[in-house]
Amino acid sequence: MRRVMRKLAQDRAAMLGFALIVLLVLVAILAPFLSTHPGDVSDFHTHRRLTPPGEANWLGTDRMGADIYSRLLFGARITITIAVVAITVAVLIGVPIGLVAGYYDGIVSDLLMRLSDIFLAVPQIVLAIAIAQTLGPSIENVILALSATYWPFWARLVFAETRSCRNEPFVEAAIALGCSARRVMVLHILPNISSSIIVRTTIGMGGTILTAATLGFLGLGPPPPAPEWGRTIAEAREFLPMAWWYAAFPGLAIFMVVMGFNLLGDGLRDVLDPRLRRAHDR
Amino acid sequence: MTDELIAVRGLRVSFGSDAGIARVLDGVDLSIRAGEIRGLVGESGCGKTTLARAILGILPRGAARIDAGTIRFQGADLLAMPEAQLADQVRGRSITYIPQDPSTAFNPVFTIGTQIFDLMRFKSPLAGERGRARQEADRARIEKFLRLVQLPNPDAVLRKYPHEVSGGQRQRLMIAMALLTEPRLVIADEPTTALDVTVQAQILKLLKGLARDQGVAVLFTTHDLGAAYEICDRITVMYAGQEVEEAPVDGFFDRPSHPYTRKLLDSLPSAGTAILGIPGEIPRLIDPPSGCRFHPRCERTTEACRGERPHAALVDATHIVRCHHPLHEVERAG
Repeated sequence: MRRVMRKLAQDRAAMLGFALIVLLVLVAILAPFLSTHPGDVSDFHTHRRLTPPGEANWLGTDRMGADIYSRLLFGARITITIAVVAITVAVLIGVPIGLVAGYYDGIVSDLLMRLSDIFLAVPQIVLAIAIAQTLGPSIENVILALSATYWPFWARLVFAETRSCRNEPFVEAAIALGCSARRVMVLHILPNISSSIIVRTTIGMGGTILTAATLGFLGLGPPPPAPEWGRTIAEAREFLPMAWWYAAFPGLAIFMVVMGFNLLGDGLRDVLDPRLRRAHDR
Repeated sequence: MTDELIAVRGLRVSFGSDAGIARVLDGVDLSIRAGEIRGLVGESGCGKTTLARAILGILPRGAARIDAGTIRFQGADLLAMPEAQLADQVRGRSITYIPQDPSTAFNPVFTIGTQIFDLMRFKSPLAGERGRARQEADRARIEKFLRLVQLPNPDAVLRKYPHEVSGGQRQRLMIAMALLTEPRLVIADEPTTALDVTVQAQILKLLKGLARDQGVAVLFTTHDLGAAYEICDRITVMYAGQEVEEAPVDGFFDRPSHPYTRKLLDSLPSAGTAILGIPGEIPRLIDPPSGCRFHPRCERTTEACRGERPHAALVDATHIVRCHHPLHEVERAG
C-alpha cells in the first residue's frame, strides 16, 4: 500500500487528478462556508438576472439572478452523491455476479453473463434515459438508472479476471486443502483482482458523472431548483453566446471533475497493473 | 488386505471435449495401506494427475465426469460424500495435497504466515478447542513443522510474502503445510518437477523422512523413476488410463513383468548408452486401442491382446501385473 502511494506521488498527472478530486470533495463539504450567496440555491433576484462575472457575483448570475458560483458549489454535492452511490451500487451488484459467474461453470454463469451482455448491447445513455424517463426526474432515479446501466462493466471485468485467476495453482491448492467455495472467492480471488476493480471504479466515476450530467441536461436529473450542473448548462443554452459564463463555468466544473477521475484512474492503473503501462513508460 | 487406507476400485473418469469423450481413467484399481509411500508412474497424460484429483474430489467441474467405481477412504465412500463434508472433514484434514509447482501455490497477496494460520484455523488437529491455549498450541505446532522441514528461523519466514522465499523453501513450506493437520494420506503431485535437480533430492529425502516419522501414507505421482526409487515402498505403473503393474520397489526394478514397465526402465537415460525410448505414440484416449491398451506398441502382441483387457495376475505375493504375456511367470490372482 505504501509502495503504491509513493509511486503514485511521482506521477504528476495522477497527482493533478487526485488534487481535483480532493478539491471537489472539499467544495462539496464546505459549500455553505465557501459560497457567497448560500441562499441562492432556491432564491431568485430577478433584478440581477444574467449579470456577468464581477465583484458581487464572481462567476455571474443565471436567468433567475442567482449566483452561479454558489450554485456550483452546492451542485458538487449532488454530483458526488450521485456518482458515489451509483458506483457503489453498480460495484455491489457487478462484482458478486462476475465472481460467481467466473468461479462456476454452467447454466447459471451463462445466464448471468448473457444478462450483462444484453445490458451492454444497449447504449448506456439510451438505457439510462429510458429508465430515468420512466421513473420520473429525481436524484434517486438518476442513481437507479446509472447503477442499473453500469453494473455489467464490473460484472464483465470481474468475470474475466476470476476466470483467469481460478486456474491459478494457489486457488487449486486452496480447494485441495478444503477451502469452501465462498472463502476461495472472497479470500483468494477477490484480493488478487482488486487492483483492476479499483482502477475500473476510479475511471468509471468520471464516466458516471458525465452520464449524470447528461441526464440532468436532458431534464431527467433532480428537478429545479436543485443546482445540478448538467441542467444549469441546459438552461444556459438559450442565453448563449451573450451570457457565456452561464454555461461555461458549470461545463468547466464537469470537465475538471471528469478529468480528475480519469487522470487518477490512469495513474492507478500504471501503478497497480504493470501489464497495462502507458506507452511513454516503456 | 484389511489395513488398507484407501481403495480405489474400477474408477472410470471421462472428459468431454469437442473431439469426443476421452476416457482418461478406465477401470483403475489402486489401494494404499496406512503409512505406505506409493509411487504412481507413467508417461504424461496417462491419468496420474486425474487419479490424484479424483481422490481429492477436485476434478474440474463440468469438464470431468465420474462414470463408475468407488473410492473408499478409511471405510467411507468419498464419491458418495456430500461436497461440504468432503471440504470440511477430508480435504486438508485427513487427505492433504502437495502441488506440482510451489512457486504459484501460495496466494501472492498474503504473507506465508497468514496462509498457514488460516489453514490451521479451520483444519488444526485441535479443532475442538478454542482460545489462547489452542492458538499457542497451533503456533508451536507450526514452528515445529517449519523446523522439521529445515527452515531455520520460522518467525522470519512466516512474515514473508511468497515471492520473498526460494522455490525450494516454498516446497518445504508446502510439505510442512501438508503434514501440519495430522493427515493420514498426502497426495504429492509431482512435487519436485518444478525444482532444481540439486534441491529435488533434499526435498524427497525430507518428504520420505517426515512421512515415516508421522506414519503418513503418501501417493507420489511422478514420471521420474529415479525419484520414485528414492522414496517409494511400492510403485504402480499406469498406461493410458489403466494401471498395468504394481510392485514393491525392488521387484519393480529387478523383475519388471509388464513389457511397458520394461521399456519404461530401458528408456531411463544412463551414461554411455543411447536412450531407447518407446516406439509408437501414446494412444488417443478418445478412441483407445481395444483389449490391452499397450498392444500397438508392444513386441509380444498376439490376438488375445487385441481382444480383452488382461486380468490382474500375481508374479509373487506382492507383485501384480496385467498382461497376457508377462515377462515373468505368473499365477492367476484370485
